[in-house]
Amino acid sequence: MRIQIKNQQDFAAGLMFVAFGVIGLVEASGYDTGTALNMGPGYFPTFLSAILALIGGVITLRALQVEGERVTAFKLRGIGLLSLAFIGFGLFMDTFSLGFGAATAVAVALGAVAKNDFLWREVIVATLVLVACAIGIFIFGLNQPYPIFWWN
Amino acid sequence: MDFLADLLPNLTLGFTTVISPTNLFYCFTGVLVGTVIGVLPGIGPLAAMSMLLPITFTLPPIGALIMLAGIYYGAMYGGAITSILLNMPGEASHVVTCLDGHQLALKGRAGPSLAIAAIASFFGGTVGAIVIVLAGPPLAGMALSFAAPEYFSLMLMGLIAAAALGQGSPMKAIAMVVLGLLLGLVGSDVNTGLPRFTFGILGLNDGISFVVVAMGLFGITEIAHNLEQSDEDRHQVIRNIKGIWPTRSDFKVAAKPALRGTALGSLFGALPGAGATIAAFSSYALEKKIAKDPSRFGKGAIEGIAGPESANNAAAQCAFIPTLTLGIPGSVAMALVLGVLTIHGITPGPLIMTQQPDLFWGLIVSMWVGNIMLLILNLPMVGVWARLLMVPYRLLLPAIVMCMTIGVYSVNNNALGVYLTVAFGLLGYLFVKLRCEPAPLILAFVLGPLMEEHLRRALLISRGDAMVFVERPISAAFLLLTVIILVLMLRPRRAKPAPAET
Repeated sequence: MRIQIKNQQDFAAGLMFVAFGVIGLVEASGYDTGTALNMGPGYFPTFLSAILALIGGVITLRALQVEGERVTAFKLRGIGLLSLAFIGFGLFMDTFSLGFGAATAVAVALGAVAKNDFLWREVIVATLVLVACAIGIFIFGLNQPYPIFWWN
Repeated sequence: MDFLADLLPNLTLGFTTVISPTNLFYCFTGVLVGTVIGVLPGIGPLAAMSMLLPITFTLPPIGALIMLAGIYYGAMYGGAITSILLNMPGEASHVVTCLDGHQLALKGRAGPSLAIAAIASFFGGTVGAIVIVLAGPPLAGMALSFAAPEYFSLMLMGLIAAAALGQGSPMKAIAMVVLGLLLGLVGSDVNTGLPRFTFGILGLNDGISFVVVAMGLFGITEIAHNLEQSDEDRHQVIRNIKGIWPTRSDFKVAAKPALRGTALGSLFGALPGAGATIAAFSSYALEKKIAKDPSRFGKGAIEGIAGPESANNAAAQCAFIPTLTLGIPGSVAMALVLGVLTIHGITPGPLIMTQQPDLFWGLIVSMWVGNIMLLILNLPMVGVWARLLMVPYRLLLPAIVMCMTIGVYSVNNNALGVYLTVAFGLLGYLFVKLRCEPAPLILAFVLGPLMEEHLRRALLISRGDAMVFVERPISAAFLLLTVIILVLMLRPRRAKPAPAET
């Protein structure tokens, strides 16, 4: 007998829930469940993880029977660059300590090129203007305690 | 009905709170920023609220709440403009506004339909605020008798109802609720201090900030979705706006639908899940049903704007009722409001009204004031908003990214929050691809820790006997309703495919 996936979206979603449930069960197995009267820290997580894995399993199995939609293609360029903008900001602020100005510049520039009809001239102007705005609003306006440059 | 006697002093307190220059400023900033962001295509009220959450942390609690509420209903007004002019609904509750609104705009009547939308929204919003005044105190009084078992059952009912009333597969929605509850448990256990689901990361001991979850699931995901769209030619419709003032017959046609829409909105507003959306859809359906000539709908009927717009605004205001009186948010926007209250150290629930009357009454009065401001902003300045629509997305994007990165970083002043936002953004992108609605997840995320707390307390009081949930009548009623909702939501799906084939 050949197993056929009739609902790709639900099949993948079901497996995702099962995965989260199993991770939860494994992690929560180290916590004390206690008794119903004196509930330990593991009681609620274990219970929830088990339910999640169970529902995930049902969704996966039903995806084999009931017709549904296919998963559309992942377009990773946009969300990838967007994620890099955030990660860049974090790295420049904490790991490299390059200051608020540089971190904002990296985030803004990477965010700007995430849209595929960007123009280099606009990206450069937007970055300069927005970094100036950000320093004005957040450092001088809202008094956030971040160093503007890496030397201060 | 002794609360009626207190009404006048309470409202006076509300007015004196709001009339202070700083609070008026927060209210105005909120509605202005909300309108601007709501107008900008591709940023709905939820993305707007989650992006601006960090800024509200720096304000005093009442100012933060007034501003956040202003952003919320301001974005609802702004969203109507985008729906009518561009046929792009910022969120589900505006979908029906597009149907007739955009048709009218194409016929060169964009101005009057925007004006009708603004006036209908104003009417719905104002009546919604009155409903809060009348329904809030009695409900809070009732909730004072609730103990742990009642709260647990009520939250369970709220979450299941949110899953049932949302769009898409109910099974997946329930799974999202459970996943949200689990994510809410990340951090130190309240009773023992044991770190749970932190995977050895020290920064997770305080739990995941709801700002991070909201910004990832709604902000990043929404931008990623917009990046996949291309800018269309928007200029033609916008140039067509000439006069904005509706004719006398427009008002005549719109008056009754706005009244009915407001009634539906006030009724559905407090529902968990998708109150505003359900209200707008049922108002549209009702108007179409009772119309003399239903074929006009979808081709530019004024009633098709007036009804749903008043309904979704009335619902948006009434959604505050369960949030403020019971501490149970019905929608994602309300979950964000609840989160802001908690960050400021205020426990939402029936005690707010007695312990922080200026907060409760100030907020309600600020809604009236904010709605008046919005009407003034929207009628004469509608051309300005329309011109905002011409800004291409590639110029908005860097500014949005700037606000978001700095915003999440400022929550805990470290990069972990920024990285977690990315993780939730990617997860949210996966959810979109797999058609899993994120709304039930974030509601459950906010309620998770509270639910565990109430469950533990309830079982401690009853000495471990789970019967406590059914022995207490109010709790039993909530559970019975939960079961009914569960049965109703899981049953009809099976029957559906069969008749479609014949």
